[in-house]
Amino acid sequence: MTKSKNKVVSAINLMYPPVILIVLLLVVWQTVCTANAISVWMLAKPTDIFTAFAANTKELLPDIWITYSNELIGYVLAIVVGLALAILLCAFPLVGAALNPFIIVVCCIPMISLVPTLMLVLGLGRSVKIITIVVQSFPIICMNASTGITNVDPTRLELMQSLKATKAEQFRYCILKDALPDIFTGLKLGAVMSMIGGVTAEMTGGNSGLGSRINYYIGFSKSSEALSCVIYIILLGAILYAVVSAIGAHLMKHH
Amino acid sequence: MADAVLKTKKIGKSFDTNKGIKKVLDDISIDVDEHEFVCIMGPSGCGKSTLIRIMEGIESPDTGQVLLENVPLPKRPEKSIQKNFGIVFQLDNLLEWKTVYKNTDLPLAAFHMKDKMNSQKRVMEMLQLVGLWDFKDCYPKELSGGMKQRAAIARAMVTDPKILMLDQPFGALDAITRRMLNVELLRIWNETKKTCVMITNNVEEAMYLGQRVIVLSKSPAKIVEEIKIPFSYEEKTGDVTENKEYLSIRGKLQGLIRSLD
Repeated sequence: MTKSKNKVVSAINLMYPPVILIVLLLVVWQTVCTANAISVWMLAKPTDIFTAFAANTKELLPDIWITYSNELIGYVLAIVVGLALAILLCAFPLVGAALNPFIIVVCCIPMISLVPTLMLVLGLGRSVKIITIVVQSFPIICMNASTGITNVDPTRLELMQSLKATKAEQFRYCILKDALPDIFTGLKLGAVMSMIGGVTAEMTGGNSGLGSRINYYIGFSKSSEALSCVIYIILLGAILYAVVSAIGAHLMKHH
Repeated sequence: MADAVLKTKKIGKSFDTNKGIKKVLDDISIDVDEHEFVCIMGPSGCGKSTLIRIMEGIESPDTGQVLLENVPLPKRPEKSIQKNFGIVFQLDNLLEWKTVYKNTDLPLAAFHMKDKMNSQKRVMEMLQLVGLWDFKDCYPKELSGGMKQRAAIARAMVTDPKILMLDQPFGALDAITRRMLNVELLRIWNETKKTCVMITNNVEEAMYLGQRVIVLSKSPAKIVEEIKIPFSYEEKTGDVTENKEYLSIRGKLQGLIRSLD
């Protein structure tokens, strides 16, 4: 009873500083805009953005759905590809040596420079967006997971040696668990990268999704509507990040 | 002796370092009899840990061989051979995401002995032996250093190995806990009559636990001296420390260790 009460109290203690800061920043933003009579198209006031946010939700629903579903499919695929590749690279060092430079190169490509080319080949549909998300986010997931798997505590490996554990047993008994902190670092970064990838692709071409909506609104200098779309993007990013963090914290509660 | 459980025959081992090849073990021959408790001492960095790793089949020697019940250990022993060695590491090396029970159970799973050994009963017996049954559902981080090392001993013994190999198991513990665990380990040895080989850097510990203390020289390690500790379990748990013979052996051993450092 008291334990759960303490949990609630510590959660509240964690929550209120950022909430106060956000409110404070919004108030400053609002006041600056109002006091200096900045026109809406240059910098929308928070109240304008929230009004647009509330008013546009219905109109935006199809775009929100497309962006969110692409994002989720792409991110899940990126996790599957990234983790599978990491296991493959670590299980077969020769494959790892051959593929590692490629993964680093892919990691270094700003996807925005590739998306137009991809669109020439794949068109402007859904697939190009999902592929962009996957390519943008799987390398960082893979690199972090590989780091975790290869940097397993040597004393653990000595224990595994003393049990003459096979590679698969080693993986099951200790490597996976020992690598979890790094794996989850990768998954969190991957969530962020996948958001960048998805919106980049939508803004580059096609006329569906929140990214293309932002382009559309900016074309008419409707900056409060454009920023209200950004709120939806932030919302999904934050949810993804929070869910991944929560799963990680649950899996690593005894680490 | 014909019935030695574990023998090393003229073991030599070198390592490649950036200053060239460095010999760490030179011609080491040790016989360990059944039910015997052998302690190995030597200056730090002399290769004690390498020696015990070779004796338990985790590393292989460059020259010479290790015989387990007169059968040479292969370079990479299989599970069926490795399970004869119960190993206690310098640090407890428990998996922190497993409970004490699951940690103790791990070797039974790894050696595919769960059915054969009746794992539930066996784990319970071992945890009772080290006095941790009440803590079976705790995670390692909830235990003190001494309790963790006791769990590590239970884990090493759960497969009923022929030999218990202990590599400076109490080195990281404070003096009082260390003393308590020495008492505990001697009791366990007396109850189970398990053959034990232990590396230690502590003269009192070596004399309290060992029936024989083997002293190694600085690297490359050679056997300098073998000292018998001729006291029974009852004497050791009694007031042997006031015994004249005990004191003279201790003085000799201490002098020897100091002269090697």
